[in-house]
Amino acid sequence: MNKYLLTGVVILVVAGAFVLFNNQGAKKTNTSSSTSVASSSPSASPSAMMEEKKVTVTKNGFESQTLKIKVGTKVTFVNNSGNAISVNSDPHPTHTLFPFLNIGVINDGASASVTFDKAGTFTYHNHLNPSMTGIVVAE
Amino acid sequence: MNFRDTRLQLSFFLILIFLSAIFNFNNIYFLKVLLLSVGSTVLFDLLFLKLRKVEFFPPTAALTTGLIISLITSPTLPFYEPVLAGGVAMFFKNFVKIENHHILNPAGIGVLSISILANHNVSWWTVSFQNSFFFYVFLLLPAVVSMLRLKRFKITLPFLFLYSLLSFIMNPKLSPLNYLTDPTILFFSIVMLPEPMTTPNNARRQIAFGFLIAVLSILFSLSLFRNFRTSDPLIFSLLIGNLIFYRLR
Repeated sequence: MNKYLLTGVVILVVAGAFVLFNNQGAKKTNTSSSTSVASSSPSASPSAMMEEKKVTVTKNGFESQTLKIKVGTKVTFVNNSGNAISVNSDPHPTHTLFPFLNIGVINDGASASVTFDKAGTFTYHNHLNPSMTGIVVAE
Repeated sequence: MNFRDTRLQLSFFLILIFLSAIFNFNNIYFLKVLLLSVGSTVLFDLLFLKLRKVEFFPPTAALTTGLIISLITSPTLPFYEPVLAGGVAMFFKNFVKIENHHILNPAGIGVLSISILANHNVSWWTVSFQNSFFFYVFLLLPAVVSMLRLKRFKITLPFLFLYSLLSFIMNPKLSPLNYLTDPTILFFSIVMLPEPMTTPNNARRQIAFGFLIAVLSILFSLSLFRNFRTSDPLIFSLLIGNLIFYRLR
């Protein structure tokens, strides 16, 4: 039985390595700077590409909680909450719905940006306080 | 101290995961949640043992529980939350038991009850960032204890298989491998799910238990239960499973 178990563990490690390296490859092509994550799409217009919006994070949560933007807008999360936050895609805790929204840790006073290059409704949360949730509607 | 004690070995691996999180988040102040959780859990356990007039023994189980609480309770919460979670966990471990066996996973009931009272979700903060192979291997280390030494893989593997399959059916945008290797799911299935005192010992029942928790976790993740926000689907399912199987160990 231990042989089967060992095989299972080896499969899990190899599968994990495959998924992780695959994801890292995808991130590298989509990341324009250390604090900016962009998803690629040919549908964004050049004028919309120039737009920028801000979501401020306070002790009360994300403001605006629901943000309506044009496709191609860069959204910057500014952390003024007094604590570190971690912006991640829903659902919590697996963060699988919108992988490009897995921005990660933003320390107090810092900011990070993400560009929304596709239309849709994108839901996210603060992984360190998952009750803090937000929505971006890109049209 | 007996370093062949599986609880101590598991605790060692959990500390490694915690330290990897501190390194990743680059915030030394997050150590406070470790001190608060472990300190309160061990102290409450000693206090309750004294109240029960049980002879003193090293609180290694409380140490493991405290470490699990620190790994899934956000360090940005008020200090009293991890302290209370430790207290509730030890209360259930010491007083809510049948035939000298506690019924509910102590870390699970501690964290879930405080998250419901404080009206927020469980964070899983240290176990969902493992985006490098190095940290991913750290996350798998507790499997040496739970799957190899305690031989609880008949709970973990059926859970992982069915959970990945059902998740893929619900959301085929990602491959089953993505679900299978999700760090949170791995931590839950390797560390919390197979807790020896609250899960079946019989092989067939272990497999059934793993399958049941997988089905319940998916069920409680559905939008049907979205208004039930304070319950973490994984921990909530685990506690329901503990209740269902407490007579079937």
